[in-house]
Amino acid sequence: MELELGLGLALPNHSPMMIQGLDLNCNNSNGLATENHEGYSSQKRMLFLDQDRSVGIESTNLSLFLWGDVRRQPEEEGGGGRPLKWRKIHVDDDDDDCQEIEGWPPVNSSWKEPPRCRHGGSAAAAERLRKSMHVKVKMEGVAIGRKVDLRHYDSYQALTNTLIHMFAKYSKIDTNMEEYTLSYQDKEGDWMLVGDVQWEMFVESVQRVEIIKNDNKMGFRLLSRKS
Amino acid sequence: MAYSFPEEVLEHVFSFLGSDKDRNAVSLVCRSWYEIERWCRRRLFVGNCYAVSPEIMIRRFPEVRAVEMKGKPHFADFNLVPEGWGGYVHPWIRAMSAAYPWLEEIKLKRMVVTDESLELIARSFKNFRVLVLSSCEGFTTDGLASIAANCRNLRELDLRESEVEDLSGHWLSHFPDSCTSLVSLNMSCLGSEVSFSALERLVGRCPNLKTLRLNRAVPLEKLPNLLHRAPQLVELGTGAYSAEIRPDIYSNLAEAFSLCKQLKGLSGFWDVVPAYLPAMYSVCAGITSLNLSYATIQSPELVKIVSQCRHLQRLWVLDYIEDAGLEALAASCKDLLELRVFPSDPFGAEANVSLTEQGLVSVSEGCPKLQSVLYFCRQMSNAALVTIARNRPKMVRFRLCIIEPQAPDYLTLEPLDRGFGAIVENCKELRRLSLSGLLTDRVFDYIGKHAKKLEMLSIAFAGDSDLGLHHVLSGCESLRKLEIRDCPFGDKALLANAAKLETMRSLWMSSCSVSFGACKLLAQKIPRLNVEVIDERGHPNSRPDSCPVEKLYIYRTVAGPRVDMPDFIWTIDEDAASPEVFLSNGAV
Repeated sequence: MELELGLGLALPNHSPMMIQGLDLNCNNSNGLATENHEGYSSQKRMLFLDQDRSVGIESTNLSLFLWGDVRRQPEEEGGGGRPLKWRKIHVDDDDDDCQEIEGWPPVNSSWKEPPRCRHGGSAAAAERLRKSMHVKVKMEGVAIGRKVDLRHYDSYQALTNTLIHMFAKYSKIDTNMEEYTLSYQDKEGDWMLVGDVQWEMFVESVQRVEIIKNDNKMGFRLLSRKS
Repeated sequence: MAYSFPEEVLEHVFSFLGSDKDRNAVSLVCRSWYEIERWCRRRLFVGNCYAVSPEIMIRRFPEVRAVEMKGKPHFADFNLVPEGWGGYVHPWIRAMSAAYPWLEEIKLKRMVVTDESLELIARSFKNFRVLVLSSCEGFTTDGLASIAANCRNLRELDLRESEVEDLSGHWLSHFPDSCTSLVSLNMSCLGSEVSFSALERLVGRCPNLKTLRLNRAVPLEKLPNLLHRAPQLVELGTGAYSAEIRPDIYSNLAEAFSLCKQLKGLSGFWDVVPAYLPAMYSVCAGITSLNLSYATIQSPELVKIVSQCRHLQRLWVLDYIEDAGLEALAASCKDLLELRVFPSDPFGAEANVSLTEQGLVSVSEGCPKLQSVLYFCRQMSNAALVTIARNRPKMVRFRLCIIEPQAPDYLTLEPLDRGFGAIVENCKELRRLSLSGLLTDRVFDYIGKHAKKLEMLSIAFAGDSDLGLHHVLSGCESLRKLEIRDCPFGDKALLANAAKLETMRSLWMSSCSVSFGACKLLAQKIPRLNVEVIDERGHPNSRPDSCPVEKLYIYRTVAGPRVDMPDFIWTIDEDAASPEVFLSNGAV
């Protein structure tokens, strides 16, 4: 089975504060500038929805972070200290209980052991614990790589959504929807197609991820790297 | 009177000045002192690798032996700086390899180091002794192999928190048999197993080895052998602290620890099996530094450990210690200077341990020397902060992270302004502060007024308006580094205090309300600032000029715009080159 990624024209979503009033000359009242921004952001939102729909990816969560994290228990609504402002700046988010904020809480991303993973006993689990959960992602034809922290994901779907978000801007070169394939290098150094094995196995063995243009050459590239 | 002394005498006098600040002050006295000082400066610290160029550094200081340098912004630690941002050390190494053949030390933090750079270091500096790569990335164990093979007088190799591509554990075998000079080896960040016999031999033949931090792949059974070969160790980082429970392993370990009479620091302890912890009790009485931030040890065992470490000065620990453990710490460790409590489950929605503000209050009461705190917790109150501030007026570093953004005082539901206000008002020596919880502009008023010695301030999810930032920038006369995320601070405060930025090392703002238009104005107003906009949505000119930028990094520099910018960073300089853009947007 091949998991294909359609990367459309969507721009990454704006940062949350952008929707707050900015016009310094009108003392926090919502001036023109604010309205402009709202117009701007809703336009982007539509682009994103269109694109999601057309490639059949179920992502309607348009907050700063795209993944829904099912590991986490939903919190009780309005429980105790959750401040109003915090809700306000995430108005895009239908379900903000599920979101994580990039870089918060500020724990060092080089923390090698996510302490919630317990020592599994098997050699593979030990190997995984030892490694950083950050993997590098490159897109064919794009000079700059990115890093994702697999601790944040629980499925291919969630990972894919984020990669679309990260690399969307680079696909602007092609006006037509370009199709891409996700491949990854496993522990043995072989290049594999993402989606071929169970998510858990993938997480254990993935070393790096590459997003490859889905043209005719691709098959040869994969084959030649594998040998 | 400078000329009344021969140069040699002044050089000798200057050699007693340890701090960079004093050396800098000396060089400002007069022309001849400047000249003498620059020729005898041996150690350099560059707080931002883009604030100066290798050429300028070499031109002014021709006889340097030790260089320490920092690269990426601090928020890179939390993944807020995109991959590929920069901080490449290679141009520096290349320039220094030609100019400083007698270079002995390189210490780098948050920089990108390639194997090529490591090879160049190994080849170029005949007398090279110290390599510290702290939170660096970009190199592999091959690069380390060339350091090991070629640096014959290597004393220190420290890879703390670096991200090393781990090709094999054989790099350690590249230390030649003639290498006996190691004083410090920290490889705790490496993943793969090292060649254990090579490690044993290396440890055995370095009689001055004081610091050894192993990686997780070194099994507990191997530790006694290593300790037997190096009973002189002062700092030990264990590997995995787990094994099947066997009396022989336990007694070997306990015996080996008991031989290490000099041990003062312990770290490591991955995958702890608690049954083996008593094996190290014999060294506890001498321990001053304990880093258990990787150790999943529950509160009762932690209590047993800390109550035996009576001379403890520094404790890093996970929140498994809980309030009860911190109370025990407060009761036993009267010399404690520094406490860091990290979250065991930072992303969980609910508390998994019983750690509250009370634990920190206990430590502030019981430990009279406490001056440095990093504390992650899930609830805080103004009353607790006021108590801490009154208990410990000598606090120098205070970093509090309440995990839920904008959490108010959980007792009164008020903002925590008053509590943090008490911290800055009482702690006159405060140099570093991180804020969290629900905060209004009022807290920044307190900070601007009272935090006269504050050098670094981190702000997240706080404030109501530009006024907040204005208080900080117009007050805080010692401020050097300011990092802000997700705050409604914008153009007005920034532009009104533009001159302040030139006195600071750097300003980071992400997800705030600064517009691209303001960035342009700022760059125009103060040409010695590099104003770098990080926007992954494409060129900011494709959006309205009043649209806020995603991330902003501003720093002063004498080197001009940097040349290695990736395509998601936009500087104002490029735009100035195209006049119509500038004219249409310049007058916001």
